[in-house]
Amino acid sequence: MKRTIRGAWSRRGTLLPLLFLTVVVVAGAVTVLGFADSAGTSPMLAVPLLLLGAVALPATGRELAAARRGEIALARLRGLHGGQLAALLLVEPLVVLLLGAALGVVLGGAGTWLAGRLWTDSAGGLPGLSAVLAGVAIVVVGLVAVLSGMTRALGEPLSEQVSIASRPRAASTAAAFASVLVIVAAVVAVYRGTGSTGDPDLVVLAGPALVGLAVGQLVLWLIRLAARAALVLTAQGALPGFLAARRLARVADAASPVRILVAAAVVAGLALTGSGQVNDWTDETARLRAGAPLQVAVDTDAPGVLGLTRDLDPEGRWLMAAVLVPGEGSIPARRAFLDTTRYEAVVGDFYGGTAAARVSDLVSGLGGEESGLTTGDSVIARVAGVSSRLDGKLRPRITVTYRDASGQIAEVRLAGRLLLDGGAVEIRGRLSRCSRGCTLTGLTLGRSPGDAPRPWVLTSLDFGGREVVSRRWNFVPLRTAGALPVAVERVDEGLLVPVADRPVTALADQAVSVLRLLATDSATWEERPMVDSTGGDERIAEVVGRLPALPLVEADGVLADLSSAITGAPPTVPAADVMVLARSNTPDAILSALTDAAGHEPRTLAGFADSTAEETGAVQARVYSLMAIFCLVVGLLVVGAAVSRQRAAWLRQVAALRVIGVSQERCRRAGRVEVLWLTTATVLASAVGAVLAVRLLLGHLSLVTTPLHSVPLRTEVALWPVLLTAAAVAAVVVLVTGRGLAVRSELSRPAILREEGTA
Amino acid sequence: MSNLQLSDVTYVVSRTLLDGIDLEFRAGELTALSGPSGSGKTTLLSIAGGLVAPTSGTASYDGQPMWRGTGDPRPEVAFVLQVYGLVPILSARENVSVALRARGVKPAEADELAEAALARFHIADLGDRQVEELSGGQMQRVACARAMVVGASVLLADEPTSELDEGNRGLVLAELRKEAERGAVVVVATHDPAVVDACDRHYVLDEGRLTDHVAAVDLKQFARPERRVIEEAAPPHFDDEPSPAGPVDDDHPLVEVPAADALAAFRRPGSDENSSDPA
Repeated sequence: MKRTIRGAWSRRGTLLPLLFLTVVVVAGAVTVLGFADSAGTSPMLAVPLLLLGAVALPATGRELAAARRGEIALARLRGLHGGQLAALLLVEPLVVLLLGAALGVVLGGAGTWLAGRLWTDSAGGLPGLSAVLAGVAIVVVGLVAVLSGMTRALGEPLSEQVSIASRPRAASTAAAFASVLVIVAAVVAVYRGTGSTGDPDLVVLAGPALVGLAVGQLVLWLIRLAARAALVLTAQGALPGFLAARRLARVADAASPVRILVAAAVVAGLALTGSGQVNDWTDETARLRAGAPLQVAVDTDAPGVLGLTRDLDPEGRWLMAAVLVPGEGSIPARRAFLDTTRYEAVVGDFYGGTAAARVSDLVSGLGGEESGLTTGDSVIARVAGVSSRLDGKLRPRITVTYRDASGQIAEVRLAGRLLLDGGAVEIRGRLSRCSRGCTLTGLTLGRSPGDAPRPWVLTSLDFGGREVVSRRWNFVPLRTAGALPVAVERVDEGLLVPVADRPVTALADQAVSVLRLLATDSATWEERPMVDSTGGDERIAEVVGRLPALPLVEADGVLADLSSAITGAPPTVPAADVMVLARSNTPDAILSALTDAAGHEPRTLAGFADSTAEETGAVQARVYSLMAIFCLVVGLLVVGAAVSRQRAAWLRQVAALRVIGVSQERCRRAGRVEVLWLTTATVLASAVGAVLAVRLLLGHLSLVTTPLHSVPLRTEVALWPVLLTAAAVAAVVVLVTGRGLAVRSELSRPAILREEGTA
Repeated sequence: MSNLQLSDVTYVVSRTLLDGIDLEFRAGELTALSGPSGSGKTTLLSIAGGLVAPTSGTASYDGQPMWRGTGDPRPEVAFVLQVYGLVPILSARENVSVALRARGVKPAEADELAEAALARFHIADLGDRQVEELSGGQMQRVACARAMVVGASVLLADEPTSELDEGNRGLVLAELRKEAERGAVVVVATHDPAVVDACDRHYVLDEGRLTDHVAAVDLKQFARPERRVIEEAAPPHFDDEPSPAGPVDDDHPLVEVPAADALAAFRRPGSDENSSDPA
């Protein structure tokens, strides 16, 4: 064991990247799995990270085997072969993998706890047994991956193994096959994605990493081809370009690490795009569901909530009544009603930037004629004679019929007495149960028995604060045998009550007009548009505008004015969600009175966002982003390890150039040209890969479960995530590779060649 | 042409590698530097070429110190390194042409000169090969071609024939002679007595000091008896000869060692094989 540790320490330059890589992959996987245990997200979100880890590890195995060529040769000379030789070589990486896995499980546990605290309501649990088992599985797979990387070195001819200088060999058939396999696997993942049923699919989830690896592989080949083409172009050019082109064309390792970095960037680009769009979707869905910054459920019916808001907020600045009837069966059956007169004040630009943004422009066209709804408690009639009379009594009688908030019909009877001059008199009565809103339904107008046969005029009728004489009425003709039918007549002074032996009736016109609607694009009617009111009675509808989504009904349904809808409507259907919508800065006194009356606490937009995220699994997008960050760290480690691995050769190369008179500045410039090549290629590949992955795969990753009636999740390419990941990748290549190639004069002095020779 | 001057050069790392070396490598002469492994030959060449700063003392050429403070050699110095020092990303021809391009020669002209230089060492057909595709001897000749193509005033060659067969060794020695005849200071560190014999002047190092001889190893004792008879009939090894100049001291710091007749063809015409003066 002591010998193993000593050997491992002597090869720490190779083993440390393996350790870090194991820690990152295990920590990432354990975090994703642990969070999945506690939050119910998909554990398969860790697949891209595991795939990148599996691709990165064989390189470490190759390097380890290369570092131990002499030892391997010696063991072979001693007669060790096959399993014995593999066992000898695997002790070191096994120790490192176990150590890395242990650290990774601890870090993953911390990650799980933190993610739970930040993203869910739970206190943040520790990873379960599945996460720990995953760590063990990663160790086993990692060991196999390392061994696969060593295979080629183990099969190297002994004569070459014992030589001091290792000769570069062409890529093996297995490596070429693996490269092609990755491209085929990416195509398969995209193909499977197009036929995805919406359930998480292992291959589809691995798709972004596969697409990234495939694009990275193609870019590697392109870099190599371009560098070979540049050999001729730079032959007569300046030395820096000449040297950079030759290094890229002839050093196998010079560009190979960018493959995993590109893959990580593609995963990150897709994750950022997906996360951003899921966040936007969650926010938009939450806004549509909330209706306004604050929503308070009310246990009443439609007229009741309208009356409540008008009582608590007479000026209409803070509160707005709303009713959602989530009817099923057809899209128009799913209907929302708002007190549209208050929309601008209460909702404002709450829907700005969403699919329902244009509602504020159209909502003013929804209001119908005056509904007659009132919350007042008095009724005042003014009556007058049509002329003076000489004698006889004239005692008008008025029966005002109305529907109270519970839908019950009630009436109030008024009786007055007109003097001989026929001058106007006022008659007062009281409305009952109208505090939550009453709707006038009709008038019965007559006279007392024995009165003079004179007509009279109802000049005004204040119904709970609303003047109703001028509204539309249906005058019911009174038919008497042998006489022409008589009915109330509208005159300039008001309603003229004719002489008849029985009272005449005027019915309030409940079919105020057609009910004006805003409809979602999905709402269709086979014939003339019809819509149910809050009470379920069918109304003729006029669609005044179509939008992709509407408040409360989201992407499927219609929106109408509440006052218009409740006029003459039967009692509100039990399935209706009755609510008050409020501005975010509603005064505490009003809000307090509202909650007291409603018996429910206000729900905020954030609350809706949380419940939407929980319901739809939107938190998965965050987990995916977290996993993408781990992928980027893997990419960073791979590039860092490769640069570190190449650094000794680069130093020797610079020293060899300096000894023949090439200045260090020219060598530095050659390094900068190489970094520029790599950065350009990596950034372009990352951007192209991310765009491809978003277009081909994002919609099929099932990062969020879009519920019925919700607005669709947009999965188009967004600029900023692509640019952000490209910038991150550029920074990694410039800083890591650039730093690796920018050597100090002391480290690359020509004398190191002499020291190497005497060593 | 100037001589390359080493004055009281001492080089100490963890131990003393060179101790008070006073030497003058003359322009126009082929100078051999020999001694056992670890005696300080490579270190001496490195200090002489300006790759390493001496702990004390100076190495100078044309009145200017060789050490420039960075470890880069002066433009008039060319090296054939023991480990060749070829640039692995370049082909054989490019390795040679880059040395010329570094000195301001136009790329096209540099390629032509490189081709010609490789031809001088009979490896023109290997010009397009990558370094790792060359054998040790081929690499060594590319290194020689690279060092000699630039027309350096000081040419320092560390074991330039160690990987070569007899024919190629002769080829390299002939080219080194041409460099010397051009007026360059040419110093060759070698273990090969034949190379020593071909040189105009010979200095021996042992444990970092100039000496008159090193302890001879009688290799004949390892040969089979019947072969030993043949070996005994062969010309004596230079180390087998006692020094005619006596021990090294301040007055007699150097040893003049007779060159072998077999390589007399590479000597400068008219030179006296035993006439090198101490520096």
